[in-house]
Amino acid sequence: MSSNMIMLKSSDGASFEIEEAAARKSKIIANMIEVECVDEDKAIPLQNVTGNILALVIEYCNKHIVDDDDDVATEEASEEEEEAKKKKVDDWEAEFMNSMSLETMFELLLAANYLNIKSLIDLVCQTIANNIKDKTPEEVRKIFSIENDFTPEEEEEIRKENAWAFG
Amino acid sequence: MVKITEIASDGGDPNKKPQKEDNQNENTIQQRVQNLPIDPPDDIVELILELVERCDYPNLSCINKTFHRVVFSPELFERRSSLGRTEHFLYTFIGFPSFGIPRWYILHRRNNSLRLSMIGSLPPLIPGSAVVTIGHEIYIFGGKLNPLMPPVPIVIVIDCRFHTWRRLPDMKRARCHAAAGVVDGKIYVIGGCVKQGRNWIEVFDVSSEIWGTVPDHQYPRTASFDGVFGLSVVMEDKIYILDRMCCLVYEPRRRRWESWGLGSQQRACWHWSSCVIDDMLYTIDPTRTLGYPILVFDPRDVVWRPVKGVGWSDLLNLAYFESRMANLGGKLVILGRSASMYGWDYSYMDSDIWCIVIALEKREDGEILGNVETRSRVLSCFMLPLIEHCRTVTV
Repeated sequence: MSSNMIMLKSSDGASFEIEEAAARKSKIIANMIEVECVDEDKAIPLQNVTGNILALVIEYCNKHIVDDDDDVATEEASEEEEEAKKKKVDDWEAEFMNSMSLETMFELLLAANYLNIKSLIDLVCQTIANNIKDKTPEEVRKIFSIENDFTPEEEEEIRKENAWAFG
Repeated sequence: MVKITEIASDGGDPNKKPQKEDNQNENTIQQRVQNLPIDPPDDIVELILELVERCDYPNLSCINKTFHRVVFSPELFERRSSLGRTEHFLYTFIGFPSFGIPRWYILHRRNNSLRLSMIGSLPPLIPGSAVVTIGHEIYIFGGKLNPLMPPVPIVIVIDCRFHTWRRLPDMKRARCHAAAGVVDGKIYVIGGCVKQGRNWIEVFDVSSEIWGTVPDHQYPRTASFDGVFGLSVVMEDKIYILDRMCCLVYEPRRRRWESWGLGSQQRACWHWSSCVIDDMLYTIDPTRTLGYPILVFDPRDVVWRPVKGVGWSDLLNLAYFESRMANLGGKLVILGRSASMYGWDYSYMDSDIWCIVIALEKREDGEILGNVETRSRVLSCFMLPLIEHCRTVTV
């Protein structure tokens, strides 16, 4: 397996070194590597991802590249071992998502979507989904810093069309 | 599914060679990133919302315009459906006789308890109309606007995803108390008008929205001449119609009628409140024929059996014939009001509507075992309600 290192550069100018295999978790970067857009001496600029978010993305990719290696090594692992390993990954993912604020989560999702990392998109979406159920619109807006772009009249109209759910 | 271009288009070409890196462009991105709040694009919001339960949608649609647009987009519901994340919802039409017009209600969970809530945006049902559901839609056929007026040929469809409705092409004949059933994705509407002339049976193609006729069909000899039917249900692609003196069975694929008289198993036990789950007919039997309150009819061996595990006390002394049963994702739901009388002179009646959810288990010997999961008061009523219809859709 290749252990080439490549450089990624965030929108705010921070540079990160990452194993090529881990970076390939991103379809976008994998694609760039395939078409040989990557100059070995130069960092790949990721213009939509800030340094603090890119650090999280890289942490996730690094963790999961190790897991993928495990999969190959223990092809004949017993069901119990498989389950234990899956639980380990789940626990890590839960801890990983717990470590960040909900606002960061949204930024991470946008970055995962931009970089096209399917499993990370799924993980963040599920975590956000779990966090927005049973919350009022005001709470969700506040948590994720989403702007309310309705006029008061529009908001009233929407409340009316959904009156059954609030009654 | 995940469109990168949408985000990338205003942030720079992700495939751009690093050699051509443009510092100015990078600066504008930096500004944009610092300019939070975040405005997530539609496809991101869709990814989140498809993982959320539908009962949270009304709240989430109030967040901002993007959330509202996605909650009201057919694509979101198509995605939920392709991911197997659809949910079952019960809609019921409830009136308070001599007080206003009946309205549609939805059974939903709020603050962890089941409740019925009125949906103000839906039109009242025309009395005497026939109702069927397909997927997320409720189809309503005919009825009489007023008992003294003739029936109408009007057809209405309700979209339960968005609680909107529209009119469909009229039936060729006006009908009231017709039978209706869905077989092979087509809706068959039968009777509701006198048993003579053409088009006693009409068939509606849901995808093309065109009415067709059933060529040279025979009238069932035993059917009531006025064509006024009680309940109709579909089991094993046959439409079972509860007529006054018999049970009619129509098989659209072979255009064949069968008829079973008053003494038959097919005609026995079922009434307005019955419903079908998994091709079997469930009914409440206050006459205690088999000693249990709920009975189930299997058309394959033409036998009524008791649903064991559910006793009389589980049913809260419901006003049985006024109750309505429905299939909520394989579970049996009973909506009804308690017939208990209170007060020193027993003059006070409990008029609230209760909901009983019963999980069903089919055992190897063919017996059905019921397990009462919840019993809850779902609607407080200030006067006696009349539950006219009770149907489930998948959204």
